[in-house]
Amino acid sequence: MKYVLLLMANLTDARCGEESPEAPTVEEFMAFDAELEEAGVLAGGFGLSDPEEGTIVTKRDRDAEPVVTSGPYAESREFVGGTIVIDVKDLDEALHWAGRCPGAVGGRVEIRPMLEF
Amino acid sequence: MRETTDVVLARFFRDEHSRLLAVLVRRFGSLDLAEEAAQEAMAAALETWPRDGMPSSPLAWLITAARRRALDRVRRDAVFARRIAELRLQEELAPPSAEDDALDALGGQDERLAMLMGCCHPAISGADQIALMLRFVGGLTTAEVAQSLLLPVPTVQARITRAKKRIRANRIPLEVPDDPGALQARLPSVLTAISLIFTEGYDATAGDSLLRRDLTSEAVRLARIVQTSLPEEAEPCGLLGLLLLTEARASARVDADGVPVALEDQDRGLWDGALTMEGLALVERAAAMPSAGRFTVQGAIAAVHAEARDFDSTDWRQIVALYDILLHHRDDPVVRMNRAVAVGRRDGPEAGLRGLLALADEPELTRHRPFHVCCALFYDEVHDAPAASASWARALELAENEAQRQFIARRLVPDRPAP
Repeated sequence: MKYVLLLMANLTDARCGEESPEAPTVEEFMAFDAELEEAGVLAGGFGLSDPEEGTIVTKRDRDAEPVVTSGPYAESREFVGGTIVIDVKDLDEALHWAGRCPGAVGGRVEIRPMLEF
Repeated sequence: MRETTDVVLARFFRDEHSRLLAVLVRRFGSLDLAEEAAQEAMAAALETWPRDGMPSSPLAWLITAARRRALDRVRRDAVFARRIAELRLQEELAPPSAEDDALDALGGQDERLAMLMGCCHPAISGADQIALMLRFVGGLTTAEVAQSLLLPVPTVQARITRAKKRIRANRIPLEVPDDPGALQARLPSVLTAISLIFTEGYDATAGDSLLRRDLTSEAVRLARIVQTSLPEEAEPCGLLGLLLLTEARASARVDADGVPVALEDQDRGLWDGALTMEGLALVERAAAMPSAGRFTVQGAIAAVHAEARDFDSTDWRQIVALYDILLHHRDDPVVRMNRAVAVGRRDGPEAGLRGLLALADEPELTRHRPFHVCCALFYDEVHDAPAASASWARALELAENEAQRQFIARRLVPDRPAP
């Protein structure tokens, strides 16, 4: 079963790659990726640029003109920094990997089962 | 004749439903399919058994019948089949084996431990865990769960539905973890949930009566399942011992009017000797094991009380020492409060009050009724009437059921002779 690990962070947190003792390093993420690959459970994922670089499009209803604003979305301090998709037996295995994920340190890894169509 | 069979069946179903369900969950890997198949197998049994007599091995009969029904269901329903396909039912597509095989598959282990572990998965919220445990391992109907937790049926129904959906969507394993480390990590939440069920039954937060024996005996039953499944583990053994020693005092704990009787005033002759003996033996065994933890220590404290002939000959030094060990396992304000009370019994009420007052600012204790009762009792003993009545009044505000209110109200009677 596929689970998505959402690497959640807060706008006030130190970011990946920043020179800060709390921030997980790029090397740590690469090592984690290699570990998943080796275990044969890596099934996809991506990293995202900072939320400030995002652009938001919204339509009030189906026929409205899209309204474009530059990110981050002001209502939320939280953002998705990236995702990792793993294909494992059950939630316990997903929990095992989430617990080893560098993104959990000082941040939050949200595990969401992927809907299958 | 029909009636007797029904009575036998009712008792059997109550006892065996949870075992049947646990076996089926393990075999099918799907709680929904297991529930449905179990229900249909029981309906078939109700039809057949009164007519043809009970089979020699009823559980094996039910397992076989349930398996046939599950296969029918999968063959009938392509959508369901596709979802199930990747689950363990594949193995079941082999021709149904004889009833003996069905029983063999049970092995020595109690499958209900796996269900307990699944119900207490950290991905399920605490309130939902308890509802699931009572429903699927306790074998209570949803209405009975609602009744025992004094919640409206729709609330319990919603909790169970939500938790089942979570189990399905997240594929939460209803298994005993293979990895001993993971088992160790999961065990505390199972034991905590069982002890919460017991506490709710022993010191009910809702309703008019203090004791709800259906809940306490259900908790004992669950603790027994865990203990017999994991005999080498100290904590299940310690918890079962603790629950039995506490249950043993139940008859002495309330008077004829259902009002609680303080430990010091209890007639120890009413304590259940058989339960006490069993509880003491379990606690002793648990205490000798290296994995002994908080439940074993709490059991040991209950054991010291059980071994005292009367309140005055209680070994308070030993109890204070045990509370120190307990604080080491679990530093929380309520444990510190209990330690302060034990110190008060050892060194006198002034010492007890000093210890309690040092904790008065703990937010958890300001709303904790027993804290104010303990303060009031010590104030009574040092004849500080104004402080005592203030504490009793605060305790009364916090009383959660009629029995507790009466216990306090009696103490508040002004012409009560000084102790």
